[in-house]
Amino acid sequence: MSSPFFIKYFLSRLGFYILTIWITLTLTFIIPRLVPGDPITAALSMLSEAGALRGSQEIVDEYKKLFGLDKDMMTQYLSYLGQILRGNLGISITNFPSSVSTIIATALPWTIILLSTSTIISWILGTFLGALAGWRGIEKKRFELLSVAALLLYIIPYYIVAILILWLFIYTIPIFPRETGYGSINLTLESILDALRKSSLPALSIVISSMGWWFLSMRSLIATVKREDFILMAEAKGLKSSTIMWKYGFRNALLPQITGLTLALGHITAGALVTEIIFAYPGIGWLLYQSILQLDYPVIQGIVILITFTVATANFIVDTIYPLFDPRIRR
Amino acid sequence: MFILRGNTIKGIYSALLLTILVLVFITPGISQHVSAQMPPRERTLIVAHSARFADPENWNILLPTAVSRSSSGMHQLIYEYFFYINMETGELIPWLATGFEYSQDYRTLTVYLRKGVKWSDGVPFTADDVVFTYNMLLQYGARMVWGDIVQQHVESVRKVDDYAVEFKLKSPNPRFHLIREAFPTVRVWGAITIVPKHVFEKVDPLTFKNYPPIGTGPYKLVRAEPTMTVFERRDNWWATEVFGIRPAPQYVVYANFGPEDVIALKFSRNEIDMVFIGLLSLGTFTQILRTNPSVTAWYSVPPYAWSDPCPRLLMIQNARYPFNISEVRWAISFMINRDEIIRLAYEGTTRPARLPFPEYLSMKPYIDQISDLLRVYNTLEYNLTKAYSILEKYGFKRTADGTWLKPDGTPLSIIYLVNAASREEMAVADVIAAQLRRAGISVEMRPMRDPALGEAVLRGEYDLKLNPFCPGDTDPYDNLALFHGKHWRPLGERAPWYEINSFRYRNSEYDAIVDQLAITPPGNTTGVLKLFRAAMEIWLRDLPVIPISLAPALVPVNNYYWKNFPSADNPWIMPVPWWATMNLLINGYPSPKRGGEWVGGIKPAQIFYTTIYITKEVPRFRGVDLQWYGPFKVGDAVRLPEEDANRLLQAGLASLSPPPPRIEIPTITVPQVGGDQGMRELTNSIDNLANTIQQSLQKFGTDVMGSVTALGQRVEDSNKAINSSIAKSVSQLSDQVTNLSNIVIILAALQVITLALVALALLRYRR
Repeated sequence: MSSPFFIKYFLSRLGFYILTIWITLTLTFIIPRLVPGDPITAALSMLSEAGALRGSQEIVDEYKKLFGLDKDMMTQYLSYLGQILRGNLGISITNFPSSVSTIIATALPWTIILLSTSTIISWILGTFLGALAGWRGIEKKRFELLSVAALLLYIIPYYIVAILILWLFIYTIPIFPRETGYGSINLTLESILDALRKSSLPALSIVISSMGWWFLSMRSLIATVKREDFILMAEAKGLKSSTIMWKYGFRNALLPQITGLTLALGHITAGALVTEIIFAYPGIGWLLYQSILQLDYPVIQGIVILITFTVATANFIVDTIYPLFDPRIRR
Repeated sequence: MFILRGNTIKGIYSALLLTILVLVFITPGISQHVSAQMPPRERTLIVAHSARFADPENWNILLPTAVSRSSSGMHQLIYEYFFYINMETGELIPWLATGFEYSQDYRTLTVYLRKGVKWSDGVPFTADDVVFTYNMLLQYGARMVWGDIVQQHVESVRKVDDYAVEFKLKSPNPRFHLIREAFPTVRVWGAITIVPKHVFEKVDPLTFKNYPPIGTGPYKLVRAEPTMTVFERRDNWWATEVFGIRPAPQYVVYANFGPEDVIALKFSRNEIDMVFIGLLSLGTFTQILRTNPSVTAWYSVPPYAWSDPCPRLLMIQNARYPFNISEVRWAISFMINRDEIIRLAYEGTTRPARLPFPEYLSMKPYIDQISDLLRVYNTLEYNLTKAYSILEKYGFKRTADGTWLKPDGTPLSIIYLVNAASREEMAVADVIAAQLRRAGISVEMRPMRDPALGEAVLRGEYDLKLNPFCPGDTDPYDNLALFHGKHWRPLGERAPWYEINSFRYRNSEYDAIVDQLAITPPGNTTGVLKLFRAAMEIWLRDLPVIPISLAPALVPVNNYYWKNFPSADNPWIMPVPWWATMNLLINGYPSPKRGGEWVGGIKPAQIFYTTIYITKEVPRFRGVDLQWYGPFKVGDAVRLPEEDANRLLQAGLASLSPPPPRIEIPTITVPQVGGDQGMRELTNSIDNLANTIQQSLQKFGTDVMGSVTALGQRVEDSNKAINSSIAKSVSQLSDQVTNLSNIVIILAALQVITLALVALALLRYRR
């Protein structure tokens, strides 16, 4: 394991990893600052829209000094890098004096609970139903109906699905109790179950809407695998149809699906903006959107770094556990 | 993974069945447990807004970065102010302060604070808090909200005694008490807030989060979340002791329910009582109106909307040719058909504006003063011929296809900046652009969003932009001051704010008049009216901005749970839940016009009465039905709204059972036997005894009768209460049964389907 080839490989991977991080940090710094305007004026103009506060040059100047926004770009960049590498995400401008980590910690658990459960559930449903439809779709009519239904769900825009669900469960059948707020999540089982229950409506809308994608991709994958030679060989050996489907076809077609799942899970920290707006859900998507509108640099940087980190980790996990599923990669 | 062994389909179906069963049995269990978290609907006032708080624990009202004070309920329910202005009646209502006095030279203002006001932790509210807050603002200036404006006007603040404060002003200013950014008088939206000294002196006020906040207001914060804040009524509110007032709703919730569709759904199911401005469009509102009879707005018929105090004026760039010529600005005004704008962009919910301030009844004396000027300078006129003749006069030429060319031959084109996030601005811009194009001017519309929008407006990078002009309510001075030349900055530099002369108008004559107006005491006195007329003469001639419309404020309310919201039929206050005056909307206020008599307030839609018997003295108070009760002495039998009765019972001041009727047994003095006198005394005593017995019997009789009638009344009331509560329970039960039956049906269906599938699978794989 410690052959010179491996060490070189490891070092090159590490170097690449560090380079990626540095580029991400720099881009996250530069791009929000390219937008004309500054966070202070943006915050004040949002306040003045309500006929409330009226900004003034004095407030803007004072707060610019406080956040170091009046210094030149290089100084700001270097202090930003130093801060991040020490693990300090900084203090939000628009929500001063709240720290970025507090703000993200308020929203992140909600996003994770909602998107991880709905992604996994829609993946499971989509994959299994897609497998059934792909394998038996030609023979049985009912599986073909499944495909039609999935295609329909895939095409209907998400916000329409969401609003239909709201109409159904708020206006018509009030199964879900009259709940408005979401509260905070701590690490007790009760709190997590409560959070799961509160996010059931948004989760339902996401599952219904995104199931179609997993269904269709699995169906085409299985259909491709079905035409392989080893399937024909298994049939010739006399194995039962269901055994062939699940032990031979499904396992092979599953690989790209698992990659897709892991990558999708990596992206959950970006939140689901439309869901959060329609259901007034306190997740990260809305936080990122709001901080971009307000040009709240520390929060934008904090969230983007979080997303990058999660996606990179997800990729890493995929690379590591792939050999478990695909013996061809084990070496 | 059991799926990868044989009989997989059976496995899948069993797994599905198991999951469904688990979910089915756990979920209702959880829902029973946590639905107890929301306060009871009929005791909660629910207001819908569209804000979200990234950090819901940031309650330092002095920082511009705190949670929005109007969307979180902070400046309505937690904090209070010296004075509130009721725009509908023109009253200046004393609240935390009882009065004020200027010195002869208007350089000093003495304010008298109300005695008996306490912070929510019991500490008295005194002049110390006022002095402390102002010293903090003077020290930190622009780092705190409106601190820079306080620095502009106030020299120093001094405590005269515990309940009087003296302000020394930097320059003579008879209007200081009306500057909401420097003095706690609530005009439009809110005002500067006094914070508790005993809390803020211990911390760094610039990094202090102030959670949970301590204020003098009637409610305390119990829950703060990114999309919702929940408040509970305080029993120790100072006004309860001082005035006998308490708010009717026990809980108040300010929440973000989502986009318009969700708000509409919940509003029509009576789950929301008031909705912020701009959240429900007119179409949605009229739809809800048709299906839900409890819903209404300021008017229950078109135009529905209340008149917002900030008129919408079209800012036109005075610093750029050809709009530096006042007559060309008039030409643009003549090309705009305001009726069409009202009809198309506002769907008829408002009126055109002809002046840079709103037209409430209290503004009438001012407007009457210039009615002849308005006939000469008609800001409402739509007249293309006049417009064309002006343009031609200044050398503009019209081509055959109708386009206007500048004297140098290039086409006349306008850049129209619009706020893409404002539905109103986009709609109005569409109509105005179409009208100008019809008249032959090419218009380039630029929809922009903050923060880029803010930059562009402040630097004057536009020819046209629609903007609200605030504060505007009962005194025109503030809006006239927006046009003062001291706010002029060259193009490219940032103007003080959007409506503070970002359109770069300058007229030294006008400035002089406005300066004079600034040091004249407010009110519609002859002096003020004369100056006002002189200013308006110049303003109308120059037309620095083009008046377009009075803003419609559509504030839908739901009368299902709460009644007595202000409306056009009952305009006792402004119907605005995001202004600090919401405090007065909930509680009512002592009306100066009616000699301090308490007016207004909201009450529950359904009130049940009950009779109780007073066991200890009760001072005068206002019940939830907004009627005054008391003072009561021991032994009184009173008929009160249930909620007040329960409160007195719980406080041990009353009881449910009538006091037993007392029969006094008189003592008989046996006189000494001795002669005539003795006989007479004996006869007297016997007479007295007889009288006393008779009186006692009579009293006993009346008491018994009283008790019996009272008892009868109580039985009647109880009957009614029981009937209604039975009716309530029955309807609730039937609701639940319906819900339950829905759930049961769905569950049953799922079970049947799953069982059928399992059966099918088993059948199929029997071999």
